[in-house]
Amino acid sequence: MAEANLPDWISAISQLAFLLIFLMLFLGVNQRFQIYMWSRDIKAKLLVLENMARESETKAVEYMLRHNAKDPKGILSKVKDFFLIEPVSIEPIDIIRRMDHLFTIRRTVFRSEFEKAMPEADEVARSKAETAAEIASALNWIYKIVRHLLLTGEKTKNWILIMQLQLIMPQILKIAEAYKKALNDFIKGAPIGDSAGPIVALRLAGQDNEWREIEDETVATSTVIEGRRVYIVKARGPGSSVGKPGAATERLIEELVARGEKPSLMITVDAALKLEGEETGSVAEGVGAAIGDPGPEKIRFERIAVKHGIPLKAVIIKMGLEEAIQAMSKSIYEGSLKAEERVRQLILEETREGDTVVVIGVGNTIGVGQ
Amino acid sequence: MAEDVTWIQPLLLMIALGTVIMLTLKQARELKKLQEASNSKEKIITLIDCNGEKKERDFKEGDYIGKRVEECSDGDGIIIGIYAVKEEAKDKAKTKTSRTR
Repeated sequence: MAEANLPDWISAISQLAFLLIFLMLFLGVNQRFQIYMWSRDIKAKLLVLENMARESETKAVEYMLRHNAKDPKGILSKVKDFFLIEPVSIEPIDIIRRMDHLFTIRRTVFRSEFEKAMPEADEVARSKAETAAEIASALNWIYKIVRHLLLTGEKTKNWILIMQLQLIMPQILKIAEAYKKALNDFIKGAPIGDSAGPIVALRLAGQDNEWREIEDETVATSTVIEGRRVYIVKARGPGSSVGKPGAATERLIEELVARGEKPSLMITVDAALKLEGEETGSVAEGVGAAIGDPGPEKIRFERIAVKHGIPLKAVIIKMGLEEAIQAMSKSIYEGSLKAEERVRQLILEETREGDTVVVIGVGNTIGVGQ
Repeated sequence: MAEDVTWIQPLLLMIALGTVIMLTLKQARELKKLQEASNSKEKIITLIDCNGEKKERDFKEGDYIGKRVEECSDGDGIIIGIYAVKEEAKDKAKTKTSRTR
């Protein structure tokens, strides 16, 4: 029997190795390797998410400390774990009232917590701190959810879950990045993309107008445009607030109707999410209530419009999700100028001299006063 | 015949090693990209209306649209706009202007 030389050995071992690899393909080892690669990728990105969450918490705490907050870490931890249980939807009767009630409680709890923690700070600083804490909480929630999905996937060897998570990670990181940047912009107090509606409202009202608080954190004024009496509603600025535009409009219209001044037109102006490929800052017009609210405010616009037979129009300024929560870009600012022109045009085309119109600038009014 | 097979083994190993290095580099590049995106600089501009004349300056904390400011040569002005511009884009624009000149 001839003695095997080195090349024969190498050939035999490589054949064995290929046979083993071939068998492993049937045993799912390739999938395990794939899961390992995906998990590794998710873990690296999870670390980025964790850093973002920690950084945002530090920034929020620093901001609160700058305004002499008492126990900022304590309040942040409370906000982070705060939850709202959605009302029962299997029985839809009065769901809007129940939802509104829960949102109001949430808002009141948050406000009173920040009032207690930051007694020396003004309302604007408190509203910014509240938003900063909410953004830090959102980033922490994103981190916790991704970690939960990864650990569940690994624990249950659910490679579909891990694969889906790995595929969606770039999108999650993009959202988290947008939140992180939004935190800086909110702390600075600059208007964000979502402030386009309040900007239109302020520009229509003009300067030196008397605004009155008509609803919680919501103000109203009136002006005359080409012989039409125009009532304008927006959240009270320049702090971070969306106000209660639906409730305010409902109250305003009931007041107007009671004194025989029924509006001939209602126009809501708001930032709206664009589709990919659409131009940021482009303006569109439609019918209905333009408001990104879960229900209680939006339904008030619709109900009051239906109750008094008032045409309800909407003008939107298009932008991406990230653009809506970050410092307003020049194209969105220019979009708000175009939207103002569109609203003026609508008023002239759809009403006559002597008519009454109600315009509502919907959105977060940070960086926009009155 | 056996000699022909021997060079395939190191080649396969090299390919496997190359793939692992490429995957690692790809991951590192993605993370670096993310880091760069978060560090991209933006400048916030405040636009002031000085009796019809528009004046731009850097945003200061406390600025808001509708605020009266004493920054105009002929009296009070009013902040009519605040928006962010990418510093990179601005630098490019500057270069373009200087080239045109």
